[in-house]
Amino acid sequence: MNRKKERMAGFLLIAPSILLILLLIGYPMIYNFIISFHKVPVNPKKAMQPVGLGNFSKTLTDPSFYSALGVTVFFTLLVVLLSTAAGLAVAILVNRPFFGKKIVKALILLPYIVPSVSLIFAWKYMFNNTYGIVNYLFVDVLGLAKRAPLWFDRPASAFALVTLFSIWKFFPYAFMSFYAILQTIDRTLYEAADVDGANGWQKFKVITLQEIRPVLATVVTLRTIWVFYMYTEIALLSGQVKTISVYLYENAFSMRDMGKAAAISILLFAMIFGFIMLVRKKVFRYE
Amino acid sequence: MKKMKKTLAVILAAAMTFSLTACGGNKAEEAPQPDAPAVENTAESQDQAPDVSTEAEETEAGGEEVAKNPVTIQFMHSMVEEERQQTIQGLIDKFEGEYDWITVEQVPVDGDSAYDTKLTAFAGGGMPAVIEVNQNRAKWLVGNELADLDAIREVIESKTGDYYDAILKINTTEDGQNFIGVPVGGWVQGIWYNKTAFEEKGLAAPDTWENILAAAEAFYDPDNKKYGIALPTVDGSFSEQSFSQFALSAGANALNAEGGAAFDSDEMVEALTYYKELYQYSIQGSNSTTEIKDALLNGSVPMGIYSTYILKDLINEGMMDDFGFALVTNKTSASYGSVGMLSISDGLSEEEREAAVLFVEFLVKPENNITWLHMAPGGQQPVMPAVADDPAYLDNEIIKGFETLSPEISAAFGSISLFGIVDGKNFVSMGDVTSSNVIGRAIYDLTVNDKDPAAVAADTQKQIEELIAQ
Repeated sequence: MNRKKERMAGFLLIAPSILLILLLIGYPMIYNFIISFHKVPVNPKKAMQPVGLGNFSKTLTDPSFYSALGVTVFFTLLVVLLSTAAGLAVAILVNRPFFGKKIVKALILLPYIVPSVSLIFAWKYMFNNTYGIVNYLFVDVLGLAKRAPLWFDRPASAFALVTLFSIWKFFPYAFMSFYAILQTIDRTLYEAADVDGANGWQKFKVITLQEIRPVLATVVTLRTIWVFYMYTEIALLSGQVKTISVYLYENAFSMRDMGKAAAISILLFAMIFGFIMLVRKKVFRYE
Repeated sequence: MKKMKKTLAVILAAAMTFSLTACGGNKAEEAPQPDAPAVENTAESQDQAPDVSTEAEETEAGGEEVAKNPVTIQFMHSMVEEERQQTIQGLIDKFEGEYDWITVEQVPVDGDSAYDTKLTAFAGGGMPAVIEVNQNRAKWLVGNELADLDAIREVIESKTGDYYDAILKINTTEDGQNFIGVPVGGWVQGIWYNKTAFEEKGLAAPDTWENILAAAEAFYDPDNKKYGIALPTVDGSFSEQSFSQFALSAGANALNAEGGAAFDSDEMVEALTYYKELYQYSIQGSNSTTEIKDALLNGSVPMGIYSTYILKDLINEGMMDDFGFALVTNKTSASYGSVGMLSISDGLSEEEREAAVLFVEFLVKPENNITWLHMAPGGQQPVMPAVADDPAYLDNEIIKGFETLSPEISAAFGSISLFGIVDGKNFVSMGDVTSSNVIGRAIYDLTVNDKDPAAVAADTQKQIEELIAQ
């Protein structure tokens, strides 16, 4: 009887959270699902027209969707892998006593804590065609080109720069996560490995990687979701990197086709959900 | 265990029901227009109703006692700077002093795309009662039946004869019977050029196509980081605005007299070809407002296309005396202009509608309109001759600074031509075309991506046809 009461009290205690989840996540998701089967007028006084699977077929037969998806997958892969690797490498380097460690850690975190908009404008000024410092060095000092390259206007260079910016901006998140877990690893494990004659790579593979695996899984999972849907940094840096978030935004707010935008978001949710499940099951299994 | 599951199921069902009910709508008495409730009366203001009603007596109809229910309306605008918000709050305080049963809440929203996003979100339910918009957004609101045309006409008709004719031309609806918004200010765009530099080279002012091209060619010296012109090429509405002046001066329009797409006409291809030729002498790449203003102010270019918003910078930099303003002329003169308007949302309750009308009428009274225009002196220009000539308006350091250019700027207002206005018909579908950015993207492709003018015209024509068909 007491156990039942305890359970009841438990359920009552989590009820507000369940309610919030239903309200803030469940309802929008259900509504999004409903409008994906409709042509949605901007004016709420006009009725939505059911279009069946029209919005889904319109999306799946649009070549721009696949092109945006391809760009996004490649972008996500690069940013997640490289920002995670950079974060881990820097965390391992910093995880030892040295002079000025606090300042170094603060500097590493700087790109992550400065608002994106400020950084984006700084980057745009750096690459400006007429007075940017990068073009000054590239063209005037080093003479590598006769005219300043249009860095953010050519798809390949724009993609490379947006990727570089994203890695630089977000690697401190991985750094923070790895630095925290690295400090919890028992030093005696490394000492035992030294006694056994293990080299640096072997110690990293057998000890470090195994110990940080739960954090690694979390960082990769969260970062994949965030990068996959990243919009602000991409759109503000260059209009030439057509990722799926840009494609979604254009459909929703330029073309104001909310039905199609809802269908796109459902397709993306299914993809990213499937991918994360697969990665967690196959790559980051703990058994 | 089964009982526990049942209990949990009941709790979840109740939670779901509650959450859906909570989101599902307002009570009838709270929202007399359930389809588009604009602003709810707050609980606090309802509680205070008796007192406020008493205070509100004798304020209207020549002392006749009128009990007014307190009402709150929202005012969405793009003036996000703290100083401007304070100015608007000052106007609101003054208004609330005169109409003490009305409360006005500011909803400042920053940035072009954010504004569109917010507007789209609001359109789904809960539109602010009064919204500051440009003519494209005003057309979009009208096209989607989100604006109360009767309320807007009510305000405009109370001010018949007060507006410049060119402003009213932009402001009429497609059928010529209504207005898309209540104008509060406007800016014009044209060619700003360094008169001193032009005189030194013995060049004529850059007004005709020939003169512009000749000057651009004469000044072009990329080895020394000097360019002939700063031409808008960004993948956005700025490029559409800039290009529209060249197209309209050649007799080309994005729409025809029936409201259909007309982007592949010979005149349009001619204008695209010219714009591309001009780009050869421009600073390269995607040029938006920042790049063009910087280039004009740092002397990289002797001329560039920009709006009257540059006046303040020219004055602050002490460059005003050097600069002139010219309109693009070919078969005719054409300047791009944007009219800042106030739109009143459709579907408001009677009290909200009345409050919105009173608030808009208040904002366009000359003394209040001057306060509004002084928020961005030089950028926002008067749309009413009485305001333009008012000593109170002219009593501003920035405005005094460009007095010499006032005739040119006034002429530009008279020459405003816009895509989508054909034979006096102002097609609202142009609002959708502009917001979709097909023309801005076309100009980017034409210049930065070096696309063929005829191919760009054909591709854009197809996209506009699809948009209109939707």
